[in-house]
Amino acid sequence: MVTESARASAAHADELLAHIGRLRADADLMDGYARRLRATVTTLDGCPTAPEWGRPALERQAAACASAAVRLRTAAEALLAHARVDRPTRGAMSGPSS
Amino acid sequence: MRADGTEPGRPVPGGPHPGNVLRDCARDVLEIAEGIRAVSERTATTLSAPDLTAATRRHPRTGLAGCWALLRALTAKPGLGGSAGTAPRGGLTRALGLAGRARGGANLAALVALTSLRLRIAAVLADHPELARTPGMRLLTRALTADRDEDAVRALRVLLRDRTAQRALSGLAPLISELLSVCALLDGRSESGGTLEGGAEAVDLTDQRRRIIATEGSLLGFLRNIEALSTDGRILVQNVRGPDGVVRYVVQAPGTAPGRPRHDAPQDLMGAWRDLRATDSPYTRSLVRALAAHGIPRGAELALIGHSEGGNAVLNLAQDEDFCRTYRVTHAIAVGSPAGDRKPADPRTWIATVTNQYDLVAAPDGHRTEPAAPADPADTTRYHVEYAGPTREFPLCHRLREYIEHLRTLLPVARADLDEALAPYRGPVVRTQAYRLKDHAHPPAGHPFLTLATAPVRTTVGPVDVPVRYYDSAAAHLCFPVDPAAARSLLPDAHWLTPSRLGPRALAVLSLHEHRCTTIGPYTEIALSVLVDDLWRPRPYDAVTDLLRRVDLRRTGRYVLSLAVTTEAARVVAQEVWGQPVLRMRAEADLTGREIRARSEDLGLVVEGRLGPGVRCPDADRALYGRRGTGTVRTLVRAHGRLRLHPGAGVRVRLDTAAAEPLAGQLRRLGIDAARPLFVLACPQFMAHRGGGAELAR
Repeated sequence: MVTESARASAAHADELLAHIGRLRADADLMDGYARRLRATVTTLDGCPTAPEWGRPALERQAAACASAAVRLRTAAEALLAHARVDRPTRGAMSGPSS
Repeated sequence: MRADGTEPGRPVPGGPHPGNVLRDCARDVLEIAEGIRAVSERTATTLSAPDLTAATRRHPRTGLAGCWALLRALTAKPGLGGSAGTAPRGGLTRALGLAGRARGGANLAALVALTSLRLRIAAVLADHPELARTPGMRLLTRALTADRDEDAVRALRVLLRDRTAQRALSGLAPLISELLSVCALLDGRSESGGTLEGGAEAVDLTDQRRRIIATEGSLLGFLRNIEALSTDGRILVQNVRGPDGVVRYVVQAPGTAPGRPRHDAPQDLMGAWRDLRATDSPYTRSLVRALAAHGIPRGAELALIGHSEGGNAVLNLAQDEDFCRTYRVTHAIAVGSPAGDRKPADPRTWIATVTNQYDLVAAPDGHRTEPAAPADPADTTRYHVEYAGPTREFPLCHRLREYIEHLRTLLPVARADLDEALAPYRGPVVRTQAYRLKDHAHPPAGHPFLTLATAPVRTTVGPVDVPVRYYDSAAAHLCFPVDPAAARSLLPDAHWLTPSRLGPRALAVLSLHEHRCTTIGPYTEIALSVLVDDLWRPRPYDAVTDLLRRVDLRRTGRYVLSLAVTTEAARVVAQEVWGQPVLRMRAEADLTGREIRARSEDLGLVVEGRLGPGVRCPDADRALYGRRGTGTVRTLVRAHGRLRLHPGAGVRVRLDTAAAEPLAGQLRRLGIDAARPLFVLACPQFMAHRGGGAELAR
């Protein structure tokens, strides 16, 4: 029984680490989206028929993407801390690299 | 000016077309929106993951901190701004979703999708500024120009769920793909949800239509047949005896016609949308049922020919493995359809597409100067014709009549190639049968108000089903008290036709109509009429007491002095069916908001202004009088909408012409050429039907 419980606990910890990895990857994606939105602003600057609202709206949304990336990394760190507490005997739990 | 000689904001000579730049940006931004939605979904999934919940129970302090950080990442603004997707909804994520929706659901994915749609609209309008005046574009831009992005998302969500508005939106072919994607991002669900049903029943063609149907197999003959079906939910199946004596079958499927109702046929907007992406749609299912009802033997050879959504449907059928196991599909030809890279289930099937590059339905990205390269140049089972038609005007360039004319005059080589490929189907037609396609899952459009028995009435433009039904219209009736003697002078010279009096004055009505979807196509209408007494026994207060009567029991009515309509079909019907003095004019009207505006350059008439506060009043059912020969024609109009009575102080009529006729002279004689109406009866959206004209011996 003890062995089963330990296995289940290890599986839970692995799941948590997988979530952390996904959150970090998503944070990188959101940073990428922010960059692409800013690149779109630059492209639209050279377009005479680009609507006036385009630049402020896209910059606002790029900032939101960057902000979301920060929050996702923060969440990943918080979950990593939780995973360390949840399974302290596993050794150095640096989590999956992003 | 820059050092390179160009000005900021102007394209570099020889640089990319502004429309293409905007279109590319829109596509990129939409891709980003979809990516953000996926991130949002994954974050919501993590938040509701059972292992996280279990771990939180074991170590609440760090677990709750982790959950809180996740919740902040999912909902904080600026940031993801809320759950956007269809992640499994546990208690918390479900509550978040509901809360987000209650607040308008303006999460980051939705806002970015909104930006993409706005860019796409700018791209379309850069190429086709004429689309700005279409009802669908007006509805869309009104929704998207809300002060705050969150309000725009909310307005767009309401618009996309409004079945009536979808009729107007169906005219926005170049935006349909974006609308689909944005719809999915706003609603967080797939657009293909719901049960797909379809059915078909054999119907007879009228004599007039039967005379048009080709009796010999040829490409242009089949296309003309499709045109004759006039997109009212019918398809045609013909048995053709080929040169080798074998009977083969030709399935002919029409497409959409913006501004016309779809009855209960599955060729509606959502059906068309599904057809663009799915091989299984109500249209394709209905087609299969029609073929089964036709009694085509298994293994028989079929050619499938379609226009617009019909072309999509036949290409979908050619991809259907079950269908291709049942029948041998030899040819699938799509004209004016977005073809894409379709791989038929039977590799022997010959696939052909004909596309005008200015046709926004077939080539929504437009401006393709080079024909799409075939995947395999040696592939003889594909034949693509892409050409630049003489006009860019949309939807004119999407009409099948235009394609037929282009194949006849501009593309003789392509026509010969297609006819050569169809050689086994070139022979006498031995049977022709039409089928009406049905979508059992939905009630017919306008049900129950517009569920009426109809009968065809012969006109010079072909049979017209009467009552004419109006599925989506807006109206403003400007009511002016006028001098009874002036009104009388404009009526026909008959002693029994007298203007009704309301006290010392008569009443003239300038009616503005914007018919967005009708059985005779969309059109705008401007009419001047005078309220007249009972033709036989006029009584002093008939006009007032009639307001309390049902329209069919009324003795008074409005005599139409002048009528201007924007389409030939509407002109013919008004003149030949309703006996009204009508002219075809250019006019446009926007009567859907508080600010109303109607303008006709041909008439020199402008009506504009703001409607003040109004009160609800009964529907504007009315009896209209016209003249045919020496008789009077009485037509009943039944309407169903939310009519409101407004003071007329904010609305003004202006005449910008010195001409006496048409309409302008009558307005001057009535003294309302620069007047404000006493009151305005306005309805931004209603349904109506107009029966045939009953001739009276007066």
